[in-house]
Amino acid sequence: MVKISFDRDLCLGCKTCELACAAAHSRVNSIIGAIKENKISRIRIKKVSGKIKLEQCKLCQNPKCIDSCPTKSLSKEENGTVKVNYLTCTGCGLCKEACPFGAIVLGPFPTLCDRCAESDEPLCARACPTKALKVKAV
Amino acid sequence: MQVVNIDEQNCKGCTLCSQVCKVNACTGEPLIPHFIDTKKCVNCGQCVVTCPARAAKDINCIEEVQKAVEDKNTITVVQGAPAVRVTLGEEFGMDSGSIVPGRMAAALRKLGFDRVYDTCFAADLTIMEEGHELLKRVKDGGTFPMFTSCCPAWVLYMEKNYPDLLGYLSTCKSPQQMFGAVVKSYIAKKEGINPARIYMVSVMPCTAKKYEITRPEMICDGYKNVDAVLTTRDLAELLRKKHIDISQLVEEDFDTPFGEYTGAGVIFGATGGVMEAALRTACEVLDGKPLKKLSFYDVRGISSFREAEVEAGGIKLKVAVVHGLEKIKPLLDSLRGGRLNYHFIEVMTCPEGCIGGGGQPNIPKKSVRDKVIKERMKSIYYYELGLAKRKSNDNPQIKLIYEDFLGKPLGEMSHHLLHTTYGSASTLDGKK
Ligand code: SF4
Ligand code: SF4
Repeated sequence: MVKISFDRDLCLGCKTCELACAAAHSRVNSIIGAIKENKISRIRIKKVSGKIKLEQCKLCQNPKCIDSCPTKSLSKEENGTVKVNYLTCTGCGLCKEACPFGAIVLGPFPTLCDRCAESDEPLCARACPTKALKVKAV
Repeated sequence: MQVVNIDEQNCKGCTLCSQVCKVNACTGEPLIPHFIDTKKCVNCGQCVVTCPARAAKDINCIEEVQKAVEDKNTITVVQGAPAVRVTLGEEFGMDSGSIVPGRMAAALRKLGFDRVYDTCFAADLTIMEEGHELLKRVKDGGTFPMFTSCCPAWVLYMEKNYPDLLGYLSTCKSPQQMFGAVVKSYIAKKEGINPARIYMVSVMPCTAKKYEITRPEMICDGYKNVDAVLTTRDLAELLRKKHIDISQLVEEDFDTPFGEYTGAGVIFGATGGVMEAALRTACEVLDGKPLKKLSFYDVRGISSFREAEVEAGGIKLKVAVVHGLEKIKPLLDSLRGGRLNYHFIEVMTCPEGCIGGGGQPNIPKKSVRDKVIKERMKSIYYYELGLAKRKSNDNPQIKLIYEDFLGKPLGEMSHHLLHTTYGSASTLDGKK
């Protein structure tokens, strides 16, 4: 399983990771693509009461989001990430409320970090200029 | 010459550099390697101190300096800029704003330099020349406002964008260049050294100084005023290479005669410093008697535009201080359109002046930078208070060099060595 560690002291708040994420999940792999396709980044850098905070799926052991889904649209993949079944998902947002890390945003379906399963390395970590985001295999 | 470049391999496209570049030279799409438009770039190095990935870099000459120091036949002379004394410590884990001129002198001597001098002396010299130039313009009704010319990035900005206004610039060379000119003439003559054997190095908080030494105006009697520039970062790198940790060194004095300086020279390192130093000397000359109040609080501070009115000898001087190039543009535009009602304007390219310079230790994080800069500024003024002499015209070595060699401010000799006219960069660009 691939986890991503976050070093608050190194983070500059430049949001390069967010852009890289949105771009990576667009069809043409570019920021323009992300804008045109209204892609939501699956990682967010926020400032909460003066502190920099990272919002990203933490790959929980027993994910609350999966428990809370009334239509059983969320399931856990082998690599630990949570997958959404777009055919049955109603976009009700109960998973978003259930997540204690604020990791889920609806757009219109839940978007969850997939650790860039399709490429060899999570692109947010690759884009970070200070290496505040680091990939950890667990 | 282009000093600052971006290494495409390392650039992550985080856009931080383009946010600090005030002349829009540094641009690019997010996530795609950025580039520098050399037509607009003024070599200020703000992108370099900001880049978190160390992709934006300035060229360095650490190896040449090392070679020169090891060469027995060259006499290596080094000068350290005012702003470096409150920042060099940071590179060695000392608190921000630690005051380290003594340790810097010790470290430079350890590196093997033959003479260790202080640019603050040349800052005092600049004040004598610039102050008298201002007084001359006041007496003879010259062109106003007069702009300072100590900041090479600012001079280049004028040449690239406002070549028609170059006449408003002071004709003084920057302290760095004045120092080189004086060492290669006065010291060479006094000690009987062939100037060709002198290798002049300066330690600067600035990347644009690396560009300044290559200008054709900065060659005097066939010799380059200054041969090499090390930024604060470069010096720290060189010291680390030689395993010298300045936090462990015992403080030493600078060499005489050019190690002597006054508080006026020291405050050159912060925004408003040149102005305050010049006012101290100019007001004293205008009044004809010693100044009572030496501190001009109106020109201090960190807001990017400050103005003040000073009365001396029955004349009202209106002055202004600007740091950051985006703030000077409206002033220059209104000057182009008609008149600008000031006598003297100090302009520094880097935010907060040289203490925030492009050659200083890297700080990408804005919130950290703000805190560190405040400490550095406090230190500069604190250090200045502790000096015995605080007016450039009180520096005994300055008096001596005028008696001995230069004659009088704005005299024939100083005109030859210490003054210049600008404009070659714009014509060079035009020819390309
Ligand atoms: S700050 Fe550095 S990494 Fe970021 S875009 Fe500029 S050159 Fe690239
Ligand atoms: S050196 Fe200064 S002017 Fe040139 S690109 Fe960097 S920030 Fe812009």
